[in-house]
Amino acid sequence: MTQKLWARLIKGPEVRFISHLDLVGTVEKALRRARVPLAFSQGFNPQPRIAFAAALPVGMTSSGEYVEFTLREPWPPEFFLKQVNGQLPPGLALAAVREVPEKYPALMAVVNLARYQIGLELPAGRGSEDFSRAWEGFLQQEEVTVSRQTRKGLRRFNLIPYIYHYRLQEDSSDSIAITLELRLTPQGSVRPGEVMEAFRAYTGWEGRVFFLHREGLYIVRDDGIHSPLTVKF
Amino acid sequence: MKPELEEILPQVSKPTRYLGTEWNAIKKDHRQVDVSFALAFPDVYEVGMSHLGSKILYHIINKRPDAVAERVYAPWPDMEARLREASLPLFGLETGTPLAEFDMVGFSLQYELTYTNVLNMLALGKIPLRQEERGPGDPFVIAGGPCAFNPEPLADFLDLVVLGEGEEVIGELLTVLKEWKQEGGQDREAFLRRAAAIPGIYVPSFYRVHYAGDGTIAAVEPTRPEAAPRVEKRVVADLDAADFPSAPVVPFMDIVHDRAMLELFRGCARGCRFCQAGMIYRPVRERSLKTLLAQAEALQRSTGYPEMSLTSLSSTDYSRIRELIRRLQEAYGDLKVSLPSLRVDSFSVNLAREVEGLRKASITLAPEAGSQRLRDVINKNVTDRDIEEAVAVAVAGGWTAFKLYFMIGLPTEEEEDLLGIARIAEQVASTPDPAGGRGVRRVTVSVSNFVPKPHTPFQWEPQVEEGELVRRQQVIRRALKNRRIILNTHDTRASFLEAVFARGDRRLGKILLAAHRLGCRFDGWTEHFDYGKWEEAFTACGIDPAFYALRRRPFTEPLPWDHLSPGVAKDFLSREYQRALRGEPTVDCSLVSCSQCGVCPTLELPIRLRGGDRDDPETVGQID
Ligand code: SF4
Repeated sequence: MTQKLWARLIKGPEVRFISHLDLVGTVEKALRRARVPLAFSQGFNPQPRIAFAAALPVGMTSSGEYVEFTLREPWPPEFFLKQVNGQLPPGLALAAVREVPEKYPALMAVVNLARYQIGLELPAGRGSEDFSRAWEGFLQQEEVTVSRQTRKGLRRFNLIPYIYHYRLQEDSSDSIAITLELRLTPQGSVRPGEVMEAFRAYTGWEGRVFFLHREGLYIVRDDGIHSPLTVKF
Repeated sequence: MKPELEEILPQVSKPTRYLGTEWNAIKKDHRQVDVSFALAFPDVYEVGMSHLGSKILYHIINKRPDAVAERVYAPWPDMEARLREASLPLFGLETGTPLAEFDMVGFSLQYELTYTNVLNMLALGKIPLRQEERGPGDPFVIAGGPCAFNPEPLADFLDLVVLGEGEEVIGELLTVLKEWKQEGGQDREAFLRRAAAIPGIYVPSFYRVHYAGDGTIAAVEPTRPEAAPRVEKRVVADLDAADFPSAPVVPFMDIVHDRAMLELFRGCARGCRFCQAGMIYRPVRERSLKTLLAQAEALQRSTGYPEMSLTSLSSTDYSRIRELIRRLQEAYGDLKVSLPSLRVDSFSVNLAREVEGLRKASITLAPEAGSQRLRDVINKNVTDRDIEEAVAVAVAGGWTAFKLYFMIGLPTEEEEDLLGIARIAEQVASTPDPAGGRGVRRVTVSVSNFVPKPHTPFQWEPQVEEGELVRRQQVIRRALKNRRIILNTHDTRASFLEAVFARGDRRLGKILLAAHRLGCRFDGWTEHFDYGKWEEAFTACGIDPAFYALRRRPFTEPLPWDHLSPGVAKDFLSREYQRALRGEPTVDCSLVSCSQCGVCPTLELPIRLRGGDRDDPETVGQID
């Protein structure tokens, strides 16, 4: 009888430069040190069943990464949390974990929204009003093309359909805080850095992005926005 | 992390190289210890972090409450540029302490083409490059590793050199350093004299080299009473009693050898005549099964690595290799065990098949030479039959990709030997699969250029000159017909430079300095190697590199490294050289009889096969 656990992982500034692939390996080694009875995939080269809901861009911190672990024998979730946290390097921690029924869908198949906190400088002589106007003008376009260098070559796509919601807040007299919600779709997603780059290119905005943080991942349905740790199927 | 570093890291490739916060990294307050040591590796993080010797020293030094060791690697050129821009000195990874603030900076010398990185790291660390320019407050710059058995090209830059295995001598050295510091720590010569009295420590500045009219060495003369006329290497007699790194640092990023390392034994008794490691690490000393199982358990608990490599010069030679593998697999169901070096025979390939299955896409075999005759010359005890059988077993086991390693430019090599390389590759490529499968899909033939190394039977041999090496590469290329064979050759100019520095003397210090000033670094990396700059350096200094690489040295000529001893007698090497020319093999001294290399009597140490008889059914299941 296998057990399925969904956990929220924090990635702090100490480890923000670790790539997604390295993060997966780091978590796997921590689980092995904690002697977690991980379940493995089948095949010539069995891999532990650890699945991240959505890769986090390098350089970014996060207070809400979600990971699905499959254990080959059940562990009490609190025990799991304690054991694994004792083995994670500085900057990484499991904040919470929940056991989900076996029949639940895979976490990565249901998570479809990411919320980011972005800090943007207001250049001299420009107020938050100026920014709101520029920002809204930017998002009113039908199409804003992002070009991304991938291993398979250059990928070009329109970022507008990925914008779900945003909220602006004056942070201080010289900066603005943006809460930006972006859709995650089976076809892909747009990174907040790409949105901000496109914004700066379109509007000629001079202020620098000085803060970029993923607050969490969510499941949006007709009945609202849910956290993976409380959602029911 | 320092704010300046925070700024820089997003702009460089692979920033996790420079974090220093990996699991098991040890951070100590320098004010709470008496001596600080920077373990410097003159290559990029991924290479340095894969080196077992450095892990051992990190563990041993940090275990002392009165000492701290931090790691430092050669910054990749993009990071170097940022450090220079920001005027940040090179630093120890754990606490960011500038290199110049350590009491001692110790370089691991694994490869001659890292020497300019040694200089570059000193420069980036703001440490005076030449030993004689250093004064009170500057660190002592030391070195160890295989290239330390001829450190002469670096003599101008090193305060002292450690010969042989470091785990015991490092403690003795740090204790002397601590005492010297407590007495005031001003007189560098006083420290070096005390250090020179420790067996295994060589202080280059305490020796004067006299040259003959023809440019060869006439004599090397010690100039202080503490400096021994011949410095013997250090070895650890009992590896079961030796400390081992039970909790090595686990990198965040994927490194060259990203797995736990279990060291089965040191030394190798096979006696390949080209192999420096086989000579300088003698005699063979095995760990007992019991020790290895305890170490495997500690590594599993402390690192969580999903893979464990059984490392040694020739791992499948471990007396109880089958027993060890069986017990590891029983104890750790999902641990992948891997064998880094496979001997070319069906026994080894079968073992690899048992432990690795088809996890690895390809299997690597190193016949080294293309004919039986030449393999006898180099004492590579592998027959054509061994090769055939090993390949047949591998194909039957399901492997479809092969990597074959050969050398060209070996002494006495002829056309026939080169064609033999092509012939073996063709044979492997057309080995049928008895099960009727697809058979061999790809054969990658990697041909490197032979570099004669000090303290080997071929130390007197000239290297084959470049143009001829290129021609020999072409002979092989032309002889290969099968399109499934890929031939990789090595840069002959890099091999030439390696040969120059491997058997160089002190006069090459000028060249290193000139090359460093011209911007040479990472010379072992094709994308950074710039031979033009080296030519410029040789011309500017009026030194002919061919004198070092291409000249046949008479047996009577004093060699630059004669005063440094790995325990193997020079007359054994010359005997082996004569046997090579006659094509006479020499037996494995751990299996058959002693071939009188001199190591055991010199070091008063017998070879030690702790595993017991080779997987003898009688002893299987028993542990010492
Ligand atoms: S002295 Fe004899 S037994 Fe010892 S390493 Fe040399 S050849 Fe082998």
